[in-house]
Amino acid sequence: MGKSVLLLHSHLPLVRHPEYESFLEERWLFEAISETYLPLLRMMQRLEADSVPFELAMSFSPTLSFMLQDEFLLERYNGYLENNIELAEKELARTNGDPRQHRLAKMYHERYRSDLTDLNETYERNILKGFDYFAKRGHVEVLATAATHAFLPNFRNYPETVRVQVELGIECHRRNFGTHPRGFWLPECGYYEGLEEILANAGVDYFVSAAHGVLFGDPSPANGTYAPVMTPEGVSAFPRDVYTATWVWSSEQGYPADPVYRDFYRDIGYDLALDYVRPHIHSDGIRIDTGFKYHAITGQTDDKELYDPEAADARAREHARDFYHRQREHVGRLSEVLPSEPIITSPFDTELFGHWWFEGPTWLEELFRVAASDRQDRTSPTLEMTTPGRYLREFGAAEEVRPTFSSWGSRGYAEVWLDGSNDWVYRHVHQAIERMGELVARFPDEGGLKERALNQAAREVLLGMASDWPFIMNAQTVVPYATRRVKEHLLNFTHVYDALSQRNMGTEWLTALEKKHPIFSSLNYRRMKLASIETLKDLIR
Amino acid sequence: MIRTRLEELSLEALLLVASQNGLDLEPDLDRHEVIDQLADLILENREERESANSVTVKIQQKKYALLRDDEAPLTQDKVDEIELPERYEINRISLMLRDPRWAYTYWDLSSAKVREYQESSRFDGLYLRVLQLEGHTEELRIRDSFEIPIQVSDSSWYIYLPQQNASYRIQLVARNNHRRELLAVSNEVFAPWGHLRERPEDLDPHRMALYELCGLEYLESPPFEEPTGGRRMES
Repeated sequence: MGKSVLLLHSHLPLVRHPEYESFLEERWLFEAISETYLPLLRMMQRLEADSVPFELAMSFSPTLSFMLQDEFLLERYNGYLENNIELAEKELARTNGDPRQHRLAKMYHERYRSDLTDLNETYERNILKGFDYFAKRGHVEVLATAATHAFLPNFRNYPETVRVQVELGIECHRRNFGTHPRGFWLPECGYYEGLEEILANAGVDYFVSAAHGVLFGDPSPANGTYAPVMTPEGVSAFPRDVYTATWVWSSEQGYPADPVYRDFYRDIGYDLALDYVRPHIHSDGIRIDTGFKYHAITGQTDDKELYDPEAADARAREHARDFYHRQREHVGRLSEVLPSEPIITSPFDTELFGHWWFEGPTWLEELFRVAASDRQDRTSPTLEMTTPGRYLREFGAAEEVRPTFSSWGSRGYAEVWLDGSNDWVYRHVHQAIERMGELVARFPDEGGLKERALNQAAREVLLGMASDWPFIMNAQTVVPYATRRVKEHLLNFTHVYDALSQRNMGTEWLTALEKKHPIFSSLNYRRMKLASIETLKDLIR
Repeated sequence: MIRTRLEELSLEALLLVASQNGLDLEPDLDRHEVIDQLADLILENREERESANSVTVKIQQKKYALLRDDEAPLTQDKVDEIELPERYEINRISLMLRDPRWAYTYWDLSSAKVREYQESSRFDGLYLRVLQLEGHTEELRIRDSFEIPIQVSDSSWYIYLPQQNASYRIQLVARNNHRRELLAVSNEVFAPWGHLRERPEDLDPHRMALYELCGLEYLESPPFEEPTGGRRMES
């Protein structure tokens, strides 16, 4: 008998540009809603309708949670859907003579129409509400995560600011889900020695660590990566299982690479004549993904087969059964070498399911169905899907281990977020954190306009800390946008810093900025104080 | 596609792209040769980046994949219009741990200090003194140290950490007037082991079986201690 935990981490940075009529990067959210979040909710609805028991853990970053409820962005999402429905209607006409393509056009037409109904009627423009529904029914255990998804090891010199990232993340969770979270998702599984003290003080019971974060810990864990360990501060760490995860994660050998699945890259935004797709791509005429993808992965060829939804659906279900049975076999092998029942912790980026792997939600659904059916068939099931919180309630952590600095990024540490492409960020963001601390010390008890300005300055510092910007610089994708965002947050902060020093804060400028970034509306700037005595003592030693 | 887009750029823009990609070009290259070298470099960099990324990173990249790589802007002209300060008029140095073997340090020197050194005939250079510390104690107890000469124009450096399970600090020091002038001391960082505590030859079969089932070959970081070596890397 063993346990299996599935954890989906959901995050996007705050991208919201009311100053433009439309903004390309806002599509990150729109695509994620249409391809991942609404399909996942539909999957859960089907399981509930069929009385299939299912339990999984999910985390929602405060920035994504905000956007999933933001009237302004959801209005724009509404426009995105209307535009895609218009394109689907054009596609229905264009593909009329080709039954195989036509039914795909029909599929997209139906999907976008369902999205529109779900957005406006089912969820009344609050998509997070859908997940809250399943959280309240015990199907989803929701974890909190850092306020702006900062890669915390790169801010370890600023414990008070890390504390704000953690506490604010927890407060957002409480506001969104009405409960105190037991678990805390460390962005990018980024852990450093001592972080657990901040988590413990914030009332967190557990976090998920990279596998080597626990394996390389002190002492070596007796259960390897197959049991949570207790840190000296009393917070449990669930090590990520890398063995079974490769069956899903790997883009070359994992399930998502199967030739029958829908190809991520082929899209009519690139394949069809520019004049035809122009109303549905970037306003500057730059070709982008429209979401209309008609081809299967097929193989390492440009000559792709047309996508067959039924074949892909059947393969996803087959792969889910395979995953379940392979996990069960793995548990059997582990039972021979472990002193206690193993637990396999499988965290994934939520957008793997649907956005990157179109059939991912079907795979998940089938996984829960096969687990439930196996449980019914056997008097003593060999593998049970559970959540970290429930596991801790039933079994607790296995032993005390001090984990070590780690992440789930390439090469296992901070390199993705600290290399030649992005290291320039830290000089400035760290400086802004220090200056924010200085502002708190200089203006401890401000009200009115000054207080608003200080709160906005704190917001800008936090937004500049997001892990996404250095990640994008490292990945070399939309580098100008990431660079611009970091610079803008720093510039906005500096504007407040200078204006407060010179006593000339402009109301209009401040109001416009508050409207642009209305997240963390109750943030109190005084929380951004620095641990001055300890820091100074440390620095002058 | 990259080649087509490069061909649309002026020679001046091509040279800018080359410089932004760290490509040193021979001065007498013609336009076609510049395009050839740039196209090769961009492709090579992309392939290298892709192969080095872990699967978790590859999946995350898809979140931001609105544009094909070939369509992404080649230069950063608009962004570079937003200027950040070159220095913050304080003398300080910070140390960040990148992984158990490498740390990143950045520092600031006030304009007054820079000017003083530039104008002094007795200024004999700056260096970083890397201190490996003795345990976690209140007092600064140095176990070992080494020096890295730097230029006044430098402001950051990647430092190879020779020992793991050790703490480090960096001192920013000037040689001026035949004296050593301590300008700033960094925060302390602890470089952990970065591998399993056991060596492969010390593992009993039971432990080895468990580790194999944990999927050691899929870890983001090598499980056993690698032979020491490496080079100091300049930022």
